[in-house]
Formats: sequence, C-alpha cells, structure tokens
Amino acid sequence: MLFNSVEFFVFIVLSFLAYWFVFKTKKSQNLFLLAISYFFYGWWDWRFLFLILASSLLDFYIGMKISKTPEKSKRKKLLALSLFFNLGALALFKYYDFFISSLVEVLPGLDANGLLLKVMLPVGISFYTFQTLSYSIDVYKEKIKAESNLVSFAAFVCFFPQLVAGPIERAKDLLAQFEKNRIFKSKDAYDGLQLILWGLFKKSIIADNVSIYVDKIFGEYQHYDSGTLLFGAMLFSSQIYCDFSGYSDIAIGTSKLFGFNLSRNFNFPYFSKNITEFWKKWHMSLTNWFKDYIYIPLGGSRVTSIILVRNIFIVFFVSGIWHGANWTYILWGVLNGVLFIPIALYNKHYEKSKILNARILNIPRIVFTFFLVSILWVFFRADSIDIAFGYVEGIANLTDFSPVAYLKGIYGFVTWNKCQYIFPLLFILYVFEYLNKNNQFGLDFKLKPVFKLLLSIFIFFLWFVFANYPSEEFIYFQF
Amino acid sequence: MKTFFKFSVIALVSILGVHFYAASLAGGRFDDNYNKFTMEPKSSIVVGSSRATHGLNPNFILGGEIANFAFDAFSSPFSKEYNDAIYSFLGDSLKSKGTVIIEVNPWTLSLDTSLAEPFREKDRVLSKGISFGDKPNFSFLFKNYDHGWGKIIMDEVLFPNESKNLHNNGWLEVSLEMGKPSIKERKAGLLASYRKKAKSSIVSDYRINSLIALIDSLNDFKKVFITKLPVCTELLKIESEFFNEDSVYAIIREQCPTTEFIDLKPQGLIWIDGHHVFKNSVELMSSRLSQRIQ
Repeated sequence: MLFNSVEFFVFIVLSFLAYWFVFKTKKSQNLFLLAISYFFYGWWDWRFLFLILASSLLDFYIGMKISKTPEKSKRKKLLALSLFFNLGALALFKYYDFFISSLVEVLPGLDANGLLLKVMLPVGISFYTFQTLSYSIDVYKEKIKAESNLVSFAAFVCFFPQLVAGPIERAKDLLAQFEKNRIFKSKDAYDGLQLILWGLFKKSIIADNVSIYVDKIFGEYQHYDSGTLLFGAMLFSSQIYCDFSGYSDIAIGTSKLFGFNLSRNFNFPYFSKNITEFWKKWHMSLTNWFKDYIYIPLGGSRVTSIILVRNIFIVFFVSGIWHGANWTYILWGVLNGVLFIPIALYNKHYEKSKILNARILNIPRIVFTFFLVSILWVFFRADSIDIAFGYVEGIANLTDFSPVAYLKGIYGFVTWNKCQYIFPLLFILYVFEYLNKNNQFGLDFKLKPVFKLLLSIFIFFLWFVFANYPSEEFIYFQF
Repeated sequence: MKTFFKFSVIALVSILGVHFYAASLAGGRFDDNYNKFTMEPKSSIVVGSSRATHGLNPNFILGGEIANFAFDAFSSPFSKEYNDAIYSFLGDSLKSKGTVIIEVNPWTLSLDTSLAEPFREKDRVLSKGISFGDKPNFSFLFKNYDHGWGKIIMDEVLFPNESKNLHNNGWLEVSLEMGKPSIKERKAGLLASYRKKAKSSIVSDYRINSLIALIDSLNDFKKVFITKLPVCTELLKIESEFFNEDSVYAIIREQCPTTEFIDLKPQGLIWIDGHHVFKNSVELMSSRLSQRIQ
C-alpha cells in the first residue's frame, strides 16, 4: 500500500475516524494501531508478518530478560542473541545471495545455483531491524527501561507510518509516546495535513515526473553527451531527495494525525555548504543511528587521525552496504567517506578560516556540494560499477568540456523530450524549501491561516494536474 | 476537533468533487484508449492493431453499425488477453448476428525475442481487468491512468490535444504535419525501428492459435473477415524478412475455411509514416473495405 495510492487514502481516512471516535482509551488505541499496522504491512505480502512478529516477540522478551538480569556476562549473551537474530535475518534475506554471487565471481569453479536462496526481500527490513536493535542495545546499556507491555512494544516496532522507510526511531522517543495518553490537537493535525500535501508534491510531482527522464538517460547513457549526463545526475539528485524526503514528510504528517511526533529525517540537505553538513542533514535518523551505535563506540572523533579515518571509513562502508546488496552502494558509501575525511580531519582549521567561510562563497559552496553529491549519486543509481564509471567518464568527456557544450546538451535533451515543464516545478520546490530552511518543512510558511490555506490549495492543484503515478514504489522501500 | 473535522469533510468533498468533474470530462483527447472502454457494444466490430485503429472509421463501414475495437501491436496482438477483452466488450451481443473484421499483420502474429518479456500485452491496458461500457469509466481511470486527473481537464478542455482524437466509435483520428520532410523523417524513424525489430521477431504459434480460437468462437454467430491493410513497400519488404505470409495465412485458411480474406489495394492512400494511413485516406480505405464485405 503506497502512500500515494487510493488504497492508502481510504485506509487513512477510515483509520483516523476509528482511532479518534471509536477507540478512545490509550490501551485500545495502541491495540488498534497495532492491528492496522499489521494490516498495512501484510498488504504487501502477508508472509512478511511472520518475520516482524518473530522479531518483535524476541526483542520484547530479551529486553525484559536483560532488565531483570544483574550479571553482566548474561546480559551480554542476551544482547548477542538479539543481535544474532536481527542481523542474521537481515543477512539472510538481504545479503546472503549477494555474497554468494560475489564469491562465485572470485571462485569461478563454484556452482551458485545450488547455493542461492532467491528469497524475496521483506519490505523495510533494514529499517525495523535497526529500530529493534537500538532498543535492545539501549536496554542493555540501561539508557532506557525495558518495555513491559507487549502491545506497546509491537506497535512501536511496526508503527505503520514509519515502518517501511523510516524515520528510524529510538525507543526513548517513539515507544514513550505509546505510553502516554494522546489528545487530539488541531494544530498538529493541520500541520500533518500540510506535511502530507508537501510530501505528495515531492513524490508524485517531482520524483515521479523526473524519474521518466532519469530512467531514459541512465538507461542509454552511452548515447548521450556530457551535458545530458550531468543533467541526468542532477535530476536523479532531485528525484531521490523528493522520493525519500517526500515519504518521510508523509510519514511524519500521518503520525501527527494520530497524535505522534516522529523525528525529523531531512533538513534541506541540498543547501549544505560541504559534504559533512550534507550528511548531518540527509537521512538524519540513519546518520544518528550510525553515530550512536557505531561511530561513538569506535571512539568517535576524540582519537588519533588514523583511527578517525578508520572510524569514518567503517561508518560509510556500513552505510553503503545498509542501502543494498550491491557493490555500487558500497562504493558510493566509501566515496562519500573519502570526501568526508579531509573536512573531518581539518574541521577546526576549516571552521576558523575566514576566507572559506565568507558569506560571498555560500552560494558557490552550495552549488559545488550539490555537484559533488550528484556525481556520487551516479554510483548509487547505476546498475553496476562499470556503468557508474562509464557514466561519470561520459560527464567528464573532454571533447565536450565547456559550459556551452554542457548547456547545449541539456537544451537538446529538454527540447527533444519536451520536459520543460519540470523546471518551474523544481523551481517551486527549491525556492519554497530555501525560504523555509529555518523551519520544519518546505510548506511551513509562517502565514495567516487564510494564506496558508490558499497556498495549500495551490499545491493541491499542482498535484491534481502534474502528479504522475508510475508503477514503481518509493526508492527506499527496497532497503 | 470539531473545526478540524468540518474542515476535513469540506476538503474531502472538494477533492472528490474536482475528481468527479475531471472524470466527467474524460473523452478522446487525453488518452488513446479511453473511449474504447466507454463506447456501447455493437454486434459488429473491427479487431486488430494500430493500423486498424488509425485506418478504419466505422462511420464509413456498414453504415456506422460497427465499433472499432482495435488497439495497438503492444496491447492487442492476438492473445488470450485480447480475446477475453473482445468477449467482455461484446457481452450479450457476442451471440447476436454481426460482422467481425479482423486486421492481421506480421507484428500481431509474432514475438519479439529480444525483449525480456515478449508477451508485452500482459501488463498493458487489456490485461488490467477494466470494465467496459461505463461513462465515466472509473475502472479505467483508477487502473490505467498514470497522471493526476487534472491533466484530463487540461488535455480535454483547457489545452486540447490537437494531434489525436479517439472518436466515440473507436476510430483514432491522428492529425500530424504532412509536409514531405515531416513524412520522410517519421518514415525513416519507423522503418529503422521495424528493421531492428524484424531481426529479433519470430512467427508465434501461440498468436496464430489465439487468432484461430477467436475466429472459432465468433464464427457461429457472425460473419468473420480477415483483412491485411496496405502499408508502404519498404515496410512490406522488412516484414517479409521474418514473416512468410503465404504459409501463415495457409494455416489460418485451413483451420478457418469459412473465413474470407480481403486484401486491400494501396492505390490513392497516403501514410503518415509508411505504416498508418493519413486521416484523409481513412474514408477511402474504410469505404473500400465496406464494399468488399457487403
């Protein structure tokens, strides 16, 4: 059930009415949320439910057991069991076939056919696995108390707005909200609707229209000039941002309708002035997860330069592989790490530099960071490493290497494919987001209610006319 | 909560209202197939691919008492999906007397083996379980229309699509620039793509058997004609590279002895691309066919 589908629209209207008008107590609301979350998840494939049920039950009982066990060694064993089960399931469903296929490439004599599992990847497994993992670790570290209510815990694991693509929530933030009575707040509900509308604008108008041209360019990249290839990479940057942050906006907005607050996942990342700032603003719930559960336990930044480089590499390597079982994702992660390291190493000097931090350089720095990020996205989007390098080589084609040639290529592609209409839409997106860069989301203008309403109607009509519904799901569902 | 609830009801009713309004305007300009799903069933129909959709106007055949139910080679090659759609479209008139004109060509009786999924009809419009005969057809709009419904208003009313109009009888009127250079450019593009396609296409027993099954099921109540619509000589040459017309049609003739084959002459016809006839030639070609089946 996609967020931009009619089914979800009906689901959310009926669930909202039942939640506030039929189920009025905290207990019954939690039970209802659990039921509709399982219904939502089972809509993809009911077999997925067994895995999430098993994961919830196991982590619930391990959490209880850890909290009641005083011996450190026993607690450690219980945590290891939780890690083994959760990471084991992730490894089995997501990475096993990839590693076998990679092994076969290294050892050509090996017959992969008998070894491959070819199992379907449960939607959102990486997201809810990380969420339950953080719960077990936090209970083990005594940062939080173990949850004693199974319904609340299971609802926390499978809370439908953020189940399949995040934000990855911590128990201290989300689970705690299941323990409180929810009171309907009109302001939150209106904000929720605006967030949903802005998310739909990003997903159905920008991402799904832009994807038509991105697919075209990446599908036949050998036939395009450098200008078109650069244009394709930049379009993909907008596509993936709108696809994923659009999903997050709808998730956060939907949660608000049910009286929950989810954590922010994006903070206008394309207005970042360098790659470290970008990573502080992109997929923030995952970045924070890596920071808290990998980077800091490894020593964080208060270590020698060599250890710092190692820590950064490990985090970006894991980030790459978290995104998918493919070498392209791993390389994408590592390349991000390579660009991250110099700034991390020389951060103190960098921050003090008056020249580098001059206001006049803000726009060029934003543009340059966007350019770098767009080039890196090529590795994320390409089907193989060879294609990614071929594509980047095409962008840097020296025979075309002039601004005029680049612009000519883009102009040629745009006029031939009649995609001029995407420019005003992208303009609205980035101008609205820039104007709200100190607020919560792109439509969060501090206006009088009547102007807010008019603005919402304007966005609705854009969606009504320009929305596109290809058969593809949200990009991050595959992770 | 009351205020929010009132606001939500007004918003919901408004959203549904504008969608209903857009659906009520849906016609022949926003989509190449929509009217085929809204037209009333007739006991006589034209079946086939885009050559027939573009080239046969029911107004000039059997006094207009026939519906054009041809689509394109991707959606309606001879297949179970197409046969089921024809039965579903005809409904009760399946068992009443009438005439069926089946347009055949090499592309609807073959498979392109270079494709990962050579049976492309499986995810096209006729295999989506869309109902026939409703207007507006919400089943079509929900299952097959990939855009915001506001685009319907744009394409039908505000900025009508001038190049294509699917009439209520199923004829797709195509209006393109017909200067010699434009025709030459379109023809060159089309021939190049078909040349490539011909290299990987093979005659398909499945498609031939589907056609025979269709004829068999219609023969009891209706007079069935098979026709081959004229195309430019260059395209005929490309088609002959993989499609032995005589042997394929011999199989159909043998299996369906009562079915009459009609070959139409190309004299006087103009094509927009060597494949589809220009709208000014449609009357000539349709009338010629009508005379042959009287």
